[in-house]
Amino acid sequence: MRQQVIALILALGLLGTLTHYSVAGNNMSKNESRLPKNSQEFLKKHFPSEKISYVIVDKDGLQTTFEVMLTSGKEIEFYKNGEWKEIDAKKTAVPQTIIPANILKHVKDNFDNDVYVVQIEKKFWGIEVELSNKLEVEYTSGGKFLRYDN
Amino acid sequence: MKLIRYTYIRLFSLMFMLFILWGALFYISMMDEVMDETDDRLLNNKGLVVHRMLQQPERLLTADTLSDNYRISRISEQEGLNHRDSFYDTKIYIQIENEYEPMRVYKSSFKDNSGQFYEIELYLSTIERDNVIEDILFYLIILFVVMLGITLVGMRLVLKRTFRPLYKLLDWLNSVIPGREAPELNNETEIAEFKKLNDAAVNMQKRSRKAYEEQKDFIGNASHELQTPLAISLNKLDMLANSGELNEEQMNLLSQTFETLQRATRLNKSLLLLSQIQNEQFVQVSEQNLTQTIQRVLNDMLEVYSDKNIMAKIETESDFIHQMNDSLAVVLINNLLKNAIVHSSSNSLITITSHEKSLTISNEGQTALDNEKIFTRFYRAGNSKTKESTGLGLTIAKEIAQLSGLSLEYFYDGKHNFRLKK
Repeated sequence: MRQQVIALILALGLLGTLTHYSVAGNNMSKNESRLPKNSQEFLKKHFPSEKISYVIVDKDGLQTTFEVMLTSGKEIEFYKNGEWKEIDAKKTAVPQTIIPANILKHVKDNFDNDVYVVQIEKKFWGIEVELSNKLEVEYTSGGKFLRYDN
Repeated sequence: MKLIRYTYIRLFSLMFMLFILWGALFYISMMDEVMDETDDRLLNNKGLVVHRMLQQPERLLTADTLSDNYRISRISEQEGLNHRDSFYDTKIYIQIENEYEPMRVYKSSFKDNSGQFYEIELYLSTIERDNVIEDILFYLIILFVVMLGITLVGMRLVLKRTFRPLYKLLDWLNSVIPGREAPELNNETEIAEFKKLNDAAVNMQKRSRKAYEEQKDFIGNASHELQTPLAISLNKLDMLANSGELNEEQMNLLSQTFETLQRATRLNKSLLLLSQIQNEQFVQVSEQNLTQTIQRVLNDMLEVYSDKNIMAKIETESDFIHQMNDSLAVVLINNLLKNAIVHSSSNSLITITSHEKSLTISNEGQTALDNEKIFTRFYRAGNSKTKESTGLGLTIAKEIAQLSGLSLEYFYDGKHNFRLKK
């Protein structure tokens, strides 16, 4: 009994250490090739002229995500299955081809022409968008307007 | 091991292990969380630094400069492609403070627009992190000790309370004496099992008391009813013997039958006496000097058994005086003395020692008797098949002693000793 308990504690400790150092396994050239196919195609399609500065494979608990830093400074995060999770264009415009049509329409209808989307992120409850005028807007996954957040 | 102790130890060791497991799990996850926090901040810093560098590529030309919290250096393409990210703890000399400070380092790499690879090292002081970890450990240990202490005391109290009715019942069972009225069992409890146990014990006591009473009554009645037929038979045999019409052989047989019947009568009388004692029919008590009773009875007794030529000596330090029924006192002394004389070999010595609190009758004998059985009805020690013995003498003596508030015990110290004690 006692030995089993000690073994369990050791195993848990080991597990903790493993998850803790998971990021340390990042390897530059390998990470780029580990990026899912559809993510690589996504980058080619929407950011055709950009190059990758680095890719981080972030194993946070049970969830694995890929964080891509482009040489322009833009950051794109992908889910494990290759779908995009977050695009941070660092004050420049997120390519309109990525933004869901409903959201794009809502932004066009409600703001001046020079307002554009700088950041878009998928949350569990929907989609959060940051505009160039610093305003944050929340939508459902289907692109229906929820609320302004400030 | 007591039930409470056993349960307590079992429960406590379980609790102890659960606490340790919980503490270890908690500590590990907290540690993980705190370490992760630092690493996450380093990752975030990398994003910020690299972004700034990429925005202002001219700063990269002056790379290799050590900033407060990062250092960037160019590396070859080969190095860059094989570069692995790593986190590690180290100590870095801080000139201003003139001391080494613990740091978390994140070593990583990135590529600029032109395809040049860079290695970046980011530093973050872990003084706060280490303090937090120390605090967590400290409070965890305090919490562990306090929780364990409270559980320890609480569990003991709960267990003691829970099992109280059981111990009360045990005490009560010990206090029950067969043939006596049992004290009332006041053992209120909410626990169903203990309630059942109480009821079962009380019922059992009542049943056994009833059986005991019935047996006692049966012996009493039977011996009472036997008295008359035995007396008539003896009477008729006497008449037959006196008729003068019997030859010598017939007279012999008659005399043997007479003796046997007389023995049966004695036996019956003893049984009757026993049942009378047990029914507490001798209630009147007065002051009895048992030492004097012995002196009175002893001479008659020695005369009856004069053919054995037994010597007796009485050592009196002070008289043994006790409040008891006078008839029973005589029967008690009679039985004890008779026992001593009958079971002694010829020409042996009987010693009577009288103190204020005890009266001992000793006779010579080779081997010790069975202390457990000696006072039970119809028990006879292996070799004594004396005609005189009914097997009831000592039983009656014991009953009388008990009834009169004395104790009668047997011990062997080279002699057989029967001691009456107040």
